[in-house]
Amino acid sequence: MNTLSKFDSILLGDNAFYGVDHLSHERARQRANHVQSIENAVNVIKCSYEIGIDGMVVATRPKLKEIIENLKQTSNIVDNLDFYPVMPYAQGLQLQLSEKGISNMIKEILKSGSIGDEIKIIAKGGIGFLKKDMLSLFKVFIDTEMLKLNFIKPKVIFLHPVFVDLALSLDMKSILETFKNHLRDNYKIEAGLCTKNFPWLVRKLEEWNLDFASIMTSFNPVGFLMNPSKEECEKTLNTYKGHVLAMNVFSGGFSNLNEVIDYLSNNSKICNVVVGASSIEHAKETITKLKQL
Amino acid sequence: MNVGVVGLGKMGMLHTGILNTINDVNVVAVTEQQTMLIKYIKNSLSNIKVFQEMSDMIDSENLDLVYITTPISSHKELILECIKKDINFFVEKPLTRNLQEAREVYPFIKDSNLINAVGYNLRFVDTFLKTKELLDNKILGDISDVKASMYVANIFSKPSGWRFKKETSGGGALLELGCHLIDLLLWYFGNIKEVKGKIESVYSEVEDFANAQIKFVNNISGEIDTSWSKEGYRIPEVNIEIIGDRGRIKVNQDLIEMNLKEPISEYDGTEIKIYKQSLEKGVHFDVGGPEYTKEDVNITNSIKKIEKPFVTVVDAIKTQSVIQAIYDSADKNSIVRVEYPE
Repeated sequence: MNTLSKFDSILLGDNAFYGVDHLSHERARQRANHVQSIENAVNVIKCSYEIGIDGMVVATRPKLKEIIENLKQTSNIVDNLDFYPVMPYAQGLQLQLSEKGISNMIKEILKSGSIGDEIKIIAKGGIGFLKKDMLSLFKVFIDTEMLKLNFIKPKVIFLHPVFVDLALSLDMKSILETFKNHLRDNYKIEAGLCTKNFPWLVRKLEEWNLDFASIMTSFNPVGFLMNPSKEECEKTLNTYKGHVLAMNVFSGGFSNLNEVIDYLSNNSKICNVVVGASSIEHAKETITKLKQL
Repeated sequence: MNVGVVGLGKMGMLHTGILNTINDVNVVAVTEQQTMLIKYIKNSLSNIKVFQEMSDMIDSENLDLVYITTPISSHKELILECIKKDINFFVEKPLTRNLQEAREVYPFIKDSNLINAVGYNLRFVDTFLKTKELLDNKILGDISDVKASMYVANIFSKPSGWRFKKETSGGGALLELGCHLIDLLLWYFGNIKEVKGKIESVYSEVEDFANAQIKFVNNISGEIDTSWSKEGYRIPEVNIEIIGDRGRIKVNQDLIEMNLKEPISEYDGTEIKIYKQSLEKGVHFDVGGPEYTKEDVNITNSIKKIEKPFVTVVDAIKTQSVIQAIYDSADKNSIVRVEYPE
């Protein structure tokens, strides 16, 4: 708990370590080699921890394990950080879909040597069954994603907005319910949802009588990725009782630090933020300012 | 408005979801072959009926619009069936596997009153829309050159699936990605008259790389380059550079950069950057990107107001004509004139 700041929690996001840049994909490619180095990522995390982050939002990317293992070898801060993974790593999924097609991808998930014994047993006895049952397949999918996280202790695991918003639009309550229950029953971990449609999600959860440990969604000075509008999202935030984690507070790199600080200062309901930092200097500047709010 | 969706793959799911969120629009039926999905829809989405064939779905349901989101090899037959049954339709891009199939559709659609649309949704991306406005306002004066690329880092080993077999897909990166570039360029600058193309397959049976020198009817010169095997491109990225006698514009999905020889009244200075964040207004629901939502809203509004959608089959046939000319040119290793259906 971050008692000295306006925020209950300030989290470091890992997108910037992989060169993700919402302002310019061209710029991201140009600096990818620097920011993608494990050493840089580890140094940024250490520096952010020193300043006072409470945890990290991470994607289930292959490189995550390398970063965390390096961090464990060179410091003892991993146990003090709360981890908030987002699954699945959508770009990786898209790549697999492009190269293999959906059927081959399912086959590979089920037969994968990387899958734990328990899942392999389920898969061995039930490939035919799983292919006929989407929710069972979804559970196996969650299990395979969990294997990518067996080196950290997640506090809340978020479902990626691609899944959440699609489920929302298709009225697939069972997908969100299965995600929550499967994590709770099998891993004793709470579930969260990422969305680009915060007011819509809140309305639906109320209608479905479902609640989640947290909702991660965009809040920023220009309304970037805030649908249907900045005003509607802020209105919903003012009345919503649950936990909200604000992302994209820099409007994907478009807003400067002063604008963001102004925005956050004037929105008392934003109590949890995730910010990215591609370098130590960047981390120092951003997180120090946020801590002073 | 009642909509039926043919094929619940990635794009079918996406459009079904978006359509479901639009006021007065209901997805009432889908066609799907996969047992797993059929079972899930029957159990969990009881308001949607599932059919095996599109013709049965159209005959059984009172549909205002059909979305065709099946693999490309089925597009021609499904389009012709929609036309025969007098039903408005949207079809995902590219239109057909080849120009021959597109030409078979053309006589039935050119004078049709049916609302018909094709999924070239980059036209709905804010930066590309704004660029169209800037070009129409003659910000760059007379255009002389254009260079356009679309890359993604997807394919680096032998891939499997219908997309990578010539017989089922009709082509590779040029047809899958390059079609977007060609659609944008035809929209910006009018018809292309001749091309000199080359293609290369490294990982798949179809082309992984394609390049073409192009000449427009209005004598603008240009180049198109595309690949789905380009390192560093995490997500599909389009870059277009346009040169005119008053300056140049570089545009991609994120940003418009203008370098002008003289300042103009709307902007300060001669070096201007317009980021997507300053153009973007929220959409009522975003799944997969605002351009998909805008596309589906445009099509359903076209039906409500009985007006032409943004991108029609006739537009897509022009794109297909250019693609075919590039394939033919690569095959003959010579300049080929683009033949548009009349």
